[in-house]
Amino acid sequence: MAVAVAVIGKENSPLYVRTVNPSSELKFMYTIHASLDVVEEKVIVGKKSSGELRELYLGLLYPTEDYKVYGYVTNTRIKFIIIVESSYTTLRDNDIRQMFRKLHNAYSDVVCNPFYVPGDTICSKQFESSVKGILIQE
Amino acid sequence: MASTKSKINILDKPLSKGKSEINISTFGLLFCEIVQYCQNRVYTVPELQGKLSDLGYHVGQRMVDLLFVRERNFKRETKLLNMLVFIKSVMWRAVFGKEADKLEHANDDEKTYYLIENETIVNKFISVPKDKGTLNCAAFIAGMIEAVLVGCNFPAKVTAHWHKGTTFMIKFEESVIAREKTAEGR
Repeated sequence: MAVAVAVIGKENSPLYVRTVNPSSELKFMYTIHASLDVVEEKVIVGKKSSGELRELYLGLLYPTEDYKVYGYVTNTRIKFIIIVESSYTTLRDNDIRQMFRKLHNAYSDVVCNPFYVPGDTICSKQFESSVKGILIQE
Repeated sequence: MASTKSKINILDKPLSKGKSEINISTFGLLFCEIVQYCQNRVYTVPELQGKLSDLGYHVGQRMVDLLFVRERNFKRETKLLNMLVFIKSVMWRAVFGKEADKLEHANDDEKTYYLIENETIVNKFISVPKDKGTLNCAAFIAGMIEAVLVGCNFPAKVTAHWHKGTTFMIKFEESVIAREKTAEGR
């Protein structure tokens, strides 16, 4: 379903990036990097109604030719980016939301680990396996 | 006359949620050790409070994400007052099983808020020795509050004082107040 999942830290440092195909990781890195500007734009205070502002899920950030990039920002300004292939037309907004929820749950589990220092790269096996669940859902 | 109660199969009963409470004496012992640990590593009272607050900070950092996933239905908090109420009610209930007693805004300074808790649980077994007059071990909780606020992008300094029980003084940075005003002005 999703082809790449990324967790980006508060100061825009990558905490975790995983792609279905390791050889295309660099390409997705570029896409993720470009999407951060859109994220920044979306979370800026101003212009929007408060209801819209409070939503953690940011929706579709931008579509490229082959992929769609979705974003989510936690309360602590950690950004989650999920990239899906645009050929999946059956994918609904709610499914994406569900994926982000799963990711957020997994992330808060990681943070609750007393040996994890917030801001470090994530190397938890449990997190890894739940990300895999998001990546390969045929 | 066998009561109808016995007919309900134990397998049909819903699972009990379990107690989320822990023993006060266990907690007391743990906190006592925390204070001793910090005390052995510092020379002055402010240092001791700083160390306790640092330890609390670690707890708070981990609480933020958990609380927002569990209680807030994936919504963000952007208003300063809502954030403080969140701490007073949601966070306090998660940590202490009750709400904090009072939340006040300082009359003379718009950056300062007071969160008042008459009987903090950490001070339950602590009697402060005379030579450490101003020490308040609730600095630990102050650290937690600070972490939650900083994590949610409301940079602030939080300190604990003896006043009406324990008062947590929350001093926000200028930028927070300025941002709040522009948000209101819209």
